[in-house]
Amino acid sequence: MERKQAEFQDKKRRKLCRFCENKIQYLDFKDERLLRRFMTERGKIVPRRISGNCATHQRKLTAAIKRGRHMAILPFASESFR
Amino acid sequence: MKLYETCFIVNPQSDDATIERHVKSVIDLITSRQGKIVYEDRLGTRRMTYPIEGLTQGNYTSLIFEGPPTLNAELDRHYRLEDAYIRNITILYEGDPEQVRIAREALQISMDRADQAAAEARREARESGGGFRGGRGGGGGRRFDNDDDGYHRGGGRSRRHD
Repeated sequence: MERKQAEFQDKKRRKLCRFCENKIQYLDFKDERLLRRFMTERGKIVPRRISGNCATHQRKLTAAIKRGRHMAILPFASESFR
Repeated sequence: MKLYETCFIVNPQSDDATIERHVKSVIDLITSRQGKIVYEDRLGTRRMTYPIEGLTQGNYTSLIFEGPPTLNAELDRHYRLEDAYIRNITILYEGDPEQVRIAREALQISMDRADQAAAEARREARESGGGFRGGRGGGGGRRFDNDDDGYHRGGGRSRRHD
C-alpha cells in the first residue's frame, strides 16, 4: 500500500512556478504574448492548479491580465472571443 | 520619488500631428510638475480586442515616470478633459524598466523552449504508437471480446445473456 502511494506521488510531480524559476518580479500588462499563455481560448484566467504558478505570482498575473483587459489589450471572458 | 507608469490610447482617426500633440501634452504635464520621464514606449496603432466608442483600433503610448503622488490626479483630470484619449491607466511601477525587459525576454525564451519540448514529446508518443489511452477517468472505453459464446469479458463480471 505504501509502495503504491509512493509511486502515485512520484507520478504526480509538483509543477514549478515559471516566474519563480526565471526570477520575474514584475509582470507587464502590455505583454500580450506572455499573458495570453495563462488565459483560455475564451479569455478566462487559467487557475494556478493548472498553470503551476505560486500564489504570489498568480496574484500579480491576475492583476496584470485585468489591467490588460481594461486597456483592450486582452479580451474579457466571452463567447465572442476572436 | 516613486516610479509610475501611465498608458493611454489616443483616437487613431486624427492625423499624426494631432496624435503627437496629445502625447506631447502628457509629457509636458509630467515634466512641468517636477516629474521626470524614465522610459517612453510608443506602441503605435494596434487593434483593440473589443471596440471602444465605436473604434476598433487605437494608438497606444506608455510612459514610465518619476514624480510626486499628486501627479496621478492631475493626469486623470487631463485625460478626462480631452475627448481624444479613449482609455487610460496610471499605476505604480514596481520594477526597473531595463531589468523588466531583460527578464521578460529570458522568460519568453524559456517558455518557447518548454513548448517545443512538450510538442516534441507529444509527437514522439504519437509515433511510438498508442502511448496515451485517454486521460483520468477515460480508460479508453469498454473492451469486449468478439467471440459468440454469449459472455462479455473484460467489462467487469461476466454474465451470460440468453
